[in-house]
Amino acid sequence: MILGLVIVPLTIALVVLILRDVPLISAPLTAVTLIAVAVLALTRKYTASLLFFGRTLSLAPLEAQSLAFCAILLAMMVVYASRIAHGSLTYALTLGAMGLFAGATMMGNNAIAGLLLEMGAFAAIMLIPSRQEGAAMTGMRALMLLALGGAVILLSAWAIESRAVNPDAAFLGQLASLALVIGFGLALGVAPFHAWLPPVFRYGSPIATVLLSVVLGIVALLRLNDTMQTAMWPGGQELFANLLLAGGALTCIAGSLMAIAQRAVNRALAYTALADMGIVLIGLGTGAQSSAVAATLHLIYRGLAIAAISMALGMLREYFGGDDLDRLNGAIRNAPVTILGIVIGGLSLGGLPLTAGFTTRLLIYRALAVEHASLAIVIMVCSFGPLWAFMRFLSAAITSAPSPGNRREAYLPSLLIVILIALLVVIGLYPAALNLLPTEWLDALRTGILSQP
Amino acid sequence: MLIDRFLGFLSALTPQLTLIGLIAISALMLVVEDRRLSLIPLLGQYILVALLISSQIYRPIVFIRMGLGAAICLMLYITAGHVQHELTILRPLLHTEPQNWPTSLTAAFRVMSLAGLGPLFRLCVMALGGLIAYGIWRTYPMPMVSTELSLTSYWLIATGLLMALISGDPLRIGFGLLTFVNGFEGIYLVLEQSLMVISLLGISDMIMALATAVCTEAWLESFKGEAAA
Repeated sequence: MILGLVIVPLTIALVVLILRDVPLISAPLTAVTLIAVAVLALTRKYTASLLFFGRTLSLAPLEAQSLAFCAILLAMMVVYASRIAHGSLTYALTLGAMGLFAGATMMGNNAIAGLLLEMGAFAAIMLIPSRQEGAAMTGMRALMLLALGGAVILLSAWAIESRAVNPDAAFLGQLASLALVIGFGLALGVAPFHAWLPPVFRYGSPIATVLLSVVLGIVALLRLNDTMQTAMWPGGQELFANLLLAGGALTCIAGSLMAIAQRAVNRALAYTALADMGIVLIGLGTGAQSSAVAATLHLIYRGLAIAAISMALGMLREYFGGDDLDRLNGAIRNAPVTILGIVIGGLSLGGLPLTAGFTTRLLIYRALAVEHASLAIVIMVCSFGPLWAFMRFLSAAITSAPSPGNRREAYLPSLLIVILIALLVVIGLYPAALNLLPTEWLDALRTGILSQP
Repeated sequence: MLIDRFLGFLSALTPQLTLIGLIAISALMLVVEDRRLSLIPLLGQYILVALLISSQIYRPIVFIRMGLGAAICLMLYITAGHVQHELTILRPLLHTEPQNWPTSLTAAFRVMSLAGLGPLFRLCVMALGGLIAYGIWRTYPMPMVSTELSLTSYWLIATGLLMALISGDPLRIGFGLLTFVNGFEGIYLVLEQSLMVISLLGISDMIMALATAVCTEAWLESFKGEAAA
């Protein structure tokens, strides 16, 4: 029963909350629950929908796979967190956020889905505050902007429903368009609504970073997909495709330019991830089926890369006391896996050939070039910004200067980083490796978010 | 007996009086220095907004909204008390050895005392919020809701957002945020009357208050860490 995807994590979250001071039990229990959620999402039958208090709950194959991906990524982050210092509420909040995001994905009603999305984001925000100066205010700023986004999404849901009843009311259509743009712009953290997201990379724990920049992004795009496929007025889809394209281009250019000057890994990651979200939006906005599929895959590769860099960033802070460029001098001798995680993850996000990020970017560039050749060239040139930032970290790390840290990398977190960067490299070298996935999964991926066959 | 008299008093309030009351307590919230006392106007907001929408929604929901406001204020009262207590302990140390304190801690004490910012400044901000609310209300009237409710909601949204923007500590940002949400929900609950939506809105408000409390405690811990250093 698909309701289990919501109930299981929320129930176990309560158990984990009680057992929060016993990490030997709470960490494995959280990881196993997240894996169970992934298995449940992948093995369910995709035909039935469910009525819950008069509301329809359903899970399309692509949504199920996206949820499974998010759950597995979070399970890896939980295993990682069990070896790196973290707050006592981390596991319970992670499970709670996952359950709420699953509910938001499955819910047919836009208002209720918007509320669940907002609550999941609030739970994830609670993972940001720490004793570090500035962390608490970062959490409050994120809370403020996402609360604003949540309210605007609720307004858009009401306007869309009202317009369906009263199709002649042009005002409702305009209100719905504006509210959708602002609401989802804030939730996705795209330019010019991105102010809350970069500080999360600086102050947030790796789990908070992945929840707010990867999982929230995926779930918000699935919600937008659902809204556009089922509740859009005539002409609305074309309008939003153009808005996605324009917003994506603005986000990509702004993020890439800001990434060039960054001298700390967290800031370079923040702006590179921002630019990469722009690529996803461009892919969804071009309107071509191949581009929409590429953008959907790109979301997954983006998640893998951000998770790898976030893990490596956590290890840098733990072992080197910071992530500034100066601290990376000679770091590859003591922390080779950490440095490789940062560099390969960053290069994949930046779209360097022979990494996973490039395989999907190429399809998106080609689709964009068909109608907007000059914009495609600008976007391609912009990808040098993030690449420059991460190559600079690599060059600092391989210098012969004495390394600032003297501890060896922890085994388990290093193994997780190796798995993630291996995936990014293998897919980059051999994109056809995806054909090894079950046919059912491939078919679902080929539908793509926001695609219009 | 007392509760009956209180409820009788509340039901005797006209929408115009409720609107005036809401404006007055919002002003009080901006001017009152003690964080714990600021929660009384917040509770008043929940009660008066619930009263204002009572004629348009299912009656038990009005009482549930009031109870929700009380629960949120109680939760934040514990945090506010903790913050006031800890900062009061740290304040004398600042006066004895100011040169030893990091700049950020000095800033913490500045935001602790609203007198540092000036009540006049805060009242000007409130007046600005009022002007914005009135302007939006005149430009975009909402035919679906009553005049008093729409003006009140615009007022709370504007002052809440301004309060969140000018505040320097997480708890006051949280107060501003809850004021904004209160204003938004005043209109939204009239437009969308599904029980599930109303329940989820209540849970969402609770989680928001909880997140505010978590951020405030972390903020306090970061200063205590600095002080120890």
